[in-house]
Amino acid sequence: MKTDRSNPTVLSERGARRVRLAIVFTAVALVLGAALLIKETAYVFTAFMFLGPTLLFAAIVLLGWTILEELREKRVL
Amino acid sequence: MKPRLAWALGLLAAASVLADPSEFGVPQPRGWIGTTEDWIQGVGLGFAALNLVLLVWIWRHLRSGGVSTNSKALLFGAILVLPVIVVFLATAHGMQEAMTVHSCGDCHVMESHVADLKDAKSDSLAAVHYKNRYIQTNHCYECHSDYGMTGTIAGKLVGLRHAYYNITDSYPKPIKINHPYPNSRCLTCHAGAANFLAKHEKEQVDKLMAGTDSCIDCHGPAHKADEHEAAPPKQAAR
Repeated sequence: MKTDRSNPTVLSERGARRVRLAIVFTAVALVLGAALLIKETAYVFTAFMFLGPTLLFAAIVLLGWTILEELREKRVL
Repeated sequence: MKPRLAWALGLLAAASVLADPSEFGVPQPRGWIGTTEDWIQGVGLGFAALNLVLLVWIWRHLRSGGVSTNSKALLFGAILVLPVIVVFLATAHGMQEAMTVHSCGDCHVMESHVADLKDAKSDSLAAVHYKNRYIQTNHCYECHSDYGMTGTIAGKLVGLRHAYYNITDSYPKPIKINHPYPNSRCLTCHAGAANFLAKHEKEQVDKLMAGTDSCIDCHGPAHKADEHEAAPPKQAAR
């Protein structure tokens, strides 16, 4: 991942896109979780059990990927 | 300290608001603050709301050009820590709620079974167990899943198949149990009970234990559901 040397906190375009995608995945998982917590129905439960953990796992992988790239860029790893 | 106190009070208030009143109007014990289930629901919703606010905040920061060290820490918390807690709590809540009679009665096909279960005039085995409170909660689940962890997993997989049948309106009519009802589900509660031993000969008990005789043969029918009401909407329309 490319970082701006003058401002190391600026993410590259690809890194920012991955983080945005991770945020969207997490938000969808959270909305499904909240819907299940508010009112459990067979459909919400089924949708949550399939999508919730899967989306969250994908979000964590995307975040981990971004962190690893940043660490490699900074030659920490 | 004050924000922490406010946070704790907020959680307490949310849990007490979500706490169900006693089903039969029985007064709650002194200092009642809800069940574990109520707290799972309240804390889960609180964390989910907090998490969504954090995600919106981070999203706006990303759009405005970058992430600071602080927002990186928040990003870690908002994508890894809080959501894992929310997903865990929601799963626990969903697993528990999926066992309730209300959840089983969600599907059209089960409406008449649940109506019979709750009918005080019905003498079906399910209704007798329900009105006499032989089973305290989760009446459908207690009799239609095997005991132990594997029973729970198998019950959830069967539930998934039922959801598929209901969505596609492809369940067979009339509804029939998928396999012979195992005596072990009855005997887990009844075997060893004084009135069970008094009313069943030793030889009969042995046959029930071995599965050569079925409890339902003498104590059925299990349900007196209206099969016409149980017809899938598409079949009923034909």
